[in-house]
Amino acid sequence: MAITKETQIAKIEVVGEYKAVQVATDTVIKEDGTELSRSRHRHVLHPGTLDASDNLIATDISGEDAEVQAIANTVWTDSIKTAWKNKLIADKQEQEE
Amino acid sequence: MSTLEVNKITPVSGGTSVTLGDSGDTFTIPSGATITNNGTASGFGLTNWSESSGNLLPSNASYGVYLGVNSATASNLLDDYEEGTFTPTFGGSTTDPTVSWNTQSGHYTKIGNIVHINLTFYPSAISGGSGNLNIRGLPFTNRNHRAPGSILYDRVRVQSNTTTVTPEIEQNTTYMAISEMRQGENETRGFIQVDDLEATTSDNPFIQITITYTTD
Repeated sequence: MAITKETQIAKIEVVGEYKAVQVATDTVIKEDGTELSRSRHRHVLHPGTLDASDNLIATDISGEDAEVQAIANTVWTDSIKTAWKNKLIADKQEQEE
Repeated sequence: MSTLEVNKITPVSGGTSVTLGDSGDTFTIPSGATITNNGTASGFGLTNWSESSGNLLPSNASYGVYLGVNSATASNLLDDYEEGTFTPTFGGSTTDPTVSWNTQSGHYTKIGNIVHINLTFYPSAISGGSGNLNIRGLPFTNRNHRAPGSILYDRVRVQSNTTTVTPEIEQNTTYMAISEMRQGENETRGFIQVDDLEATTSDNPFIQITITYTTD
């Protein structure tokens, strides 16, 4: 009787005007190859975050699945990165008002 | 009309199937009669749905159910349901703190375009960080409007004239800030800062948040 655990990318979705990449990862527990349970974990990737000087620090996607990396690199064009950076700055300024 | 009485119909020798009638024929099951399926029946009713351990299972993940209508109306289509976890984190609008955790959990349920999330934070240590406390790592991107929620907290400093404390997911993002409305001649709005998280010698901050928001 062999119990195994594996992770599978269940969904990759590109959402919204800033091209957020939503990733759903399933953890699958199997006994002798037969699925016993499956649970889902999600995370969302954006093009980057602001540093203290309002520079956009690109999100490190090196640890992501190759397909996720390929999609992110495709949809996060320079214009999207600029729009996202401007949106983050606007959010920050609004919070500081 | 004649009556045929048999106990069993089987294919002819060497055959594997039996056909009833021809195209256009109608076979009627009388009121009160029962057909029992002890095997596998296919081609009846919903061709794109099957059964899985008693549950309806579509052949395509995009299929759903129209509710409350008798014609296909997009706004009445329920075609998504999902439960799962996510990992929310603390950040700062200027610099991020370094945090280790006793409890750091996020659970979500998505029904159609509605996302309901529950988050629990109970750090074991926090150091550094500055600016507004941002909570990042939500499981779905919020739509183009701010989404407020409710919060339970302990060992988080708020201003003495604060009347309400509200977590708010920013529009088009997966992070939230925690606002506080402050009573005064003109009510003002501020935000919980990273350094408002007050660890004591005996314990650390505790925060629970619940928010329902919409996503695409």
